[in-house]
Amino acid sequence: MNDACDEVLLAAYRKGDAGAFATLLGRYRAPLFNFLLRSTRDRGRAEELYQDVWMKVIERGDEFRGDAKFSTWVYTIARNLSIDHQRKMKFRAHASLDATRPGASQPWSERVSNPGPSTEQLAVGGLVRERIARAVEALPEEQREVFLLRQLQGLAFREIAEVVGVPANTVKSRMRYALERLQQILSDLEEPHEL
Amino acid sequence: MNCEECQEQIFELIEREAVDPDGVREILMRCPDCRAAFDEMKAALAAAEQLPIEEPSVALDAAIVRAAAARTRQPVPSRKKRLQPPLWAAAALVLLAVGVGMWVIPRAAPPEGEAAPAEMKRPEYTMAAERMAPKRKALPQGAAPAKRRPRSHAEGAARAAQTVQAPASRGAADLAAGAVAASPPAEAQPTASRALKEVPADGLVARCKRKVAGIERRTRMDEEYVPKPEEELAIGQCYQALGKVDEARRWLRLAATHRETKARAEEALRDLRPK
Repeated sequence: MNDACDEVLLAAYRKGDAGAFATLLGRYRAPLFNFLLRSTRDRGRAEELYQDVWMKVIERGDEFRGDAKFSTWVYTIARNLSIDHQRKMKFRAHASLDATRPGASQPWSERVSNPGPSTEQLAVGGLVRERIARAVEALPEEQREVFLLRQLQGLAFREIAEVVGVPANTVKSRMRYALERLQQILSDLEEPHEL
Repeated sequence: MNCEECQEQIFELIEREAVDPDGVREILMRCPDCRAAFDEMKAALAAAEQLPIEEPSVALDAAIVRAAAARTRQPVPSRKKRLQPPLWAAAALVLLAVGVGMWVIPRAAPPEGEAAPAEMKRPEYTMAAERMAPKRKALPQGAAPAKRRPRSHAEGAARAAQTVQAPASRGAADLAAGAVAASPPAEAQPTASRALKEVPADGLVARCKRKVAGIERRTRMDEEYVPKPEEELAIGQCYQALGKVDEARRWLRLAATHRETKARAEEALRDLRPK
C-alpha cells in the first residue's frame, strides 16, 4: 500500500482504510505544511490551516474527482484556505513584512539582501537558511505560490497551472521572475555552476 | 537564436523544457552575458534548495489521523443519500397512506348500481342541480367545452357536499362523500346544495351516515380528539344532506367559528334557514 499512488490511497481511505490516509498524510505533511508556513509566515496559523486542509480532505474525500490528481486537489484546497486567511490578515501581513521593526531602519525585503557575514559563517549559524526563508516569504504572492509548489512538492508546471488557475506559460514566467528576484536578494550567496 | 531569446530560454533549459536546448547551450558557450544570466539562475535555484523545511507537530498529525480514523468508523453518507428519508420514515408514510385510504374508502359496498359510471347512470341530484343551476356563461359557438373528468356518483356527491372555495374544502368533501371531487363552479354551489336537500341521493345519504358515525364515534372514544374545521363543516353538510337540520346547524355553527371554514359554513347555515 505504501507504493500505491495518492489517488489509490484516497480511494482506499474512502473504503475505510485509515492506514491509507496515514500514508497519504506522511507523503504530504512536510511540503504542505511548509507551503502554508511560507504563505502565512506564522507557524501557529500555518498549523491551523494545515489542520483545516486535512479536515477538508477527510470531509470531501467523496467529492474528489478521479480525473484530477490528488496533489493538485489538496494544494488547491490549501491555496484557497491560505488566500482566505490572507484576506482576513491583510493589514497584519503587510505590517509584519514591510514595516520597520524597532531598532531597524529597513524593511525585510531590503535587509535580507544586505551583505553580511560570509557564507560559511551564516551556514554555521543556520542563518543562510533563515535568510532564504525570509527571501521566499518576501516574494510577491503570485510568484511565491508558484515557487513553493515547484520547490516543495515538485509539481509539474501544468499541475501548478491547474492549482493557481493560470496558463502553464504564465506559471513558468512567474517561476522565472521568482528566481530572478531571489537571486537579487541572495546575490551575496551565489556561486558559479556548471551547465 | 539571439541573446534575448537565449536568456528567455535559460529557465526552460534548466527545467529541461527548452524548445531549442542545443541552440541555448551554443549561445551560452560563446556569450558571457548569457552565461552570467545562466549562472545567476542556477545560483538562485541552488539557494532555493536550501529553503529550510519545517515539520508540523507530531501531535497535530496524530489528531488528524484520529479524526480520519473516526470518519471511517462512522462513514458519513454522501450528500445525495443524506437527502433521502430513512427507511423507517418511508415505511411510516406508506402505513399512513394505507390508513388514510382505509378511512376514506367506504367500508361497505355501495347499493347496487350506485357505483356505475356517470355516463351509464347519472345521479338524480346531479341532474337536478344542473337543471336548477343559474345560467352559466354560454360557450362561444364551436368552442370546445372545458375538459372534464368523467364524473362518478361519489365524485358528484363530493362536489355537492362542497360549497364556495371548493379547493380548500376538498379534504372535507372527501371525508363527507368518500371521493376526490373536482372543484365545481362557485356559482353552482348553493343551488346544488339546495338540489341536494331536495333530492338526496341514497348513496350520499349512506356515505354521510357512515362518515358522521365514524367521526362521532372517534370523538366519543378519544377525549382529546377534536374534529378539524373541515371535518365539522363536512359533518354539518352531511346532516344538511340528510335533512337533520338541528344537527346540521350545530356542526355548521362550530365550523363557522373557524376562519378557514367560516364563509362556507355561514353560507350553508343560510341555506338551512328557510327550513
